[in-house]
Amino acid sequence: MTRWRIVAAATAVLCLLMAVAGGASAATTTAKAKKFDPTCGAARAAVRTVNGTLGSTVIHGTPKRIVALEFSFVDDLTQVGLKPIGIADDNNPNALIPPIRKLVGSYTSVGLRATPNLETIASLHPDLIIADATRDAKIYSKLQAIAPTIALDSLQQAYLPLLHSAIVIGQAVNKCGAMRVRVQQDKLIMARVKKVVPKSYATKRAMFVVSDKSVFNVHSSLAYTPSLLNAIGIGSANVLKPGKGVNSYIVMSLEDFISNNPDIMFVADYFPGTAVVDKFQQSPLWDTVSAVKNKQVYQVNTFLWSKARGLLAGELIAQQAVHLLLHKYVSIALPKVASA
Amino acid sequence: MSSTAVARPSTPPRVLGQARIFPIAVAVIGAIGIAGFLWSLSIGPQDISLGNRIGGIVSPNHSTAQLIVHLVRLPRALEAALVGGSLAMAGVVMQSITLNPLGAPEIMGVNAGAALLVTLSVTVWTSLGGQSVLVLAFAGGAIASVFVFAFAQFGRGGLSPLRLALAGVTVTALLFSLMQGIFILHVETASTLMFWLVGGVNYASWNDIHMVWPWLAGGTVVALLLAAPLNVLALGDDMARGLGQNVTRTRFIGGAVVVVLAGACVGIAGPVAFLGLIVPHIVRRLVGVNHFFVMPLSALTGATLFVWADLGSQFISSVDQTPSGVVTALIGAPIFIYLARREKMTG
Repeated sequence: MTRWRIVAAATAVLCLLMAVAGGASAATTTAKAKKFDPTCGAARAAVRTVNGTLGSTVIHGTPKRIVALEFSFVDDLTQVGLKPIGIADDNNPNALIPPIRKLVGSYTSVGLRATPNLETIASLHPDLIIADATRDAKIYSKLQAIAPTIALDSLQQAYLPLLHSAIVIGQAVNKCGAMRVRVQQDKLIMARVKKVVPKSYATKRAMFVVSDKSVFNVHSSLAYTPSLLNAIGIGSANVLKPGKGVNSYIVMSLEDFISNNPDIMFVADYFPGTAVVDKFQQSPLWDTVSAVKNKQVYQVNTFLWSKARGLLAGELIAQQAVHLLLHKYVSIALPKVASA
Repeated sequence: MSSTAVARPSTPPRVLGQARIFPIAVAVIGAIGIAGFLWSLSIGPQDISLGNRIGGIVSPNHSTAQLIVHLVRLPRALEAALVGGSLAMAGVVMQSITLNPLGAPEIMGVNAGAALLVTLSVTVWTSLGGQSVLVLAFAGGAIASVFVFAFAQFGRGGLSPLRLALAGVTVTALLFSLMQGIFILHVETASTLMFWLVGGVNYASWNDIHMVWPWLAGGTVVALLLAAPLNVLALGDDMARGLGQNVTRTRFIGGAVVVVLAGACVGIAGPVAFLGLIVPHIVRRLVGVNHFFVMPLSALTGATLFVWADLGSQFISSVDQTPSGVVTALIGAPIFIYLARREKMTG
């Protein structure tokens, strides 16, 4: 009897093992069968409602003629293989950072981001317009009259809201899957960069300032670049709590700057030699700032650090920040991710 | 706003009364000005002791606190006083040579002309700085005032206070719209230029003061020396000529003084509005129309007003800098309205 019990138990275990293996195999077979879909799926390909900051928009099919009214939107579109036909480039093609300019190729300028030319936009016969929710709020209805328009956050927004904007762009251009993957890759790249940043940098006080001849304009933790630096483990010297009417940028006097006393400074200087920051540098008080004493004042590109705000631009900023601070090179090559 | 306040002298008993008021006004306004000046040395993000404040003014050592007082707060307060006083005097001269109560550098195009060329130095001619910007400001102010006078003489009727005011407003509006066009075409700096356009001394430095003080000193001396000729001019052109004055020369020198004073102020502080228009009227309501009293008291009152305006601007936001020019009218307008109502009630 005991022998038969042993055989029965062994048989039961064997059956159990075979069931598990069979199930796994079935699952594997199922997984292999599920192909990655870069679009928004068959159900939403024809018609879908996309929720933007200023309201929802119904979009039909896959837009081919896209006009983008912010640099970050151009960046995000190129990351899923799209090229906008019209871009609000402030009448300056060099305002697009070189890698994005290369990806975009030829396009039609629709003028200033602050005041895009509606006639030029209309003449392009777009099937989708991506506008900035802050800058283009007043002309949103006019843009909607030209083509389906989605208004998203970019100007004065932090890093995470810009990632959300990228996701919504993916929905708008019927590239939900592709954009989800790209955003996931962005997060992995940031994690890769963060790994090389010592933990002590989280408590450091880094300042990002944009200076021209009129003001010393510090970007607070609510703005894109400081929040991105925060995401890779570098603390901010200007932490503000979000709230109604709170400006992301802080205009500082020399005394404000001295009191703030950042440990690290990234300076985007529009007029090297004659900007306000250059006047500050001539003051003996400049040498009392920790960042100056520590020789951690870095000149950075204004277009990339101040205006770009897109997926690739953010990764380039993170790469440059780590290179400047730690003299380390971190690759921003796209990692493989499981299809979303 | 009574045109007789500029054109006609007061009756003798009133003159005597206002002559007595003059030293009282100087003492009171001076005390208010000094109080504002000293208070502005004590406010800021850093808490600085009285000892360090005194040290920072008199003989700064190398401590951060005293350097902040000496290099940041002191030049800011001083620049506010200089700009306020100079613009007020420019207003007195402008109103007197044009016999126009609305005459002011900001209305007659001088500020706008100076600001337009300074804007070009910020957006187009970006390598320019320092004295070059100052020269641009003078040139802009001079060209604009010539345009205003030229336009005012078009058509029948010749030059009159109303036509001059209309021409000034028109040219100022044209120049400001040109400026805004430049801002739009240079979007990188547009939003921050708006900060400058309001006017203020937030970024004052000893460099600015060293650059402009010779011009302001020279302009002030000439303005004070013009007191007597302007008193005569106030009687009207015919009377002035009859008394032997070279009216054209007086106007020309006065115009030059306005361009120098206003241009220098715009060069360092932007186009601060209101002071040149209102301060002379406030002062005339206190001491009458005698330029021997009006000129120095306007300088003192303008300096006091702008020092307090700059002080007030530091309380608007705990985080951000606010241009001092925002507060100027907030302080000056109620004072002017009070004085105007008091004059109306007392006849």
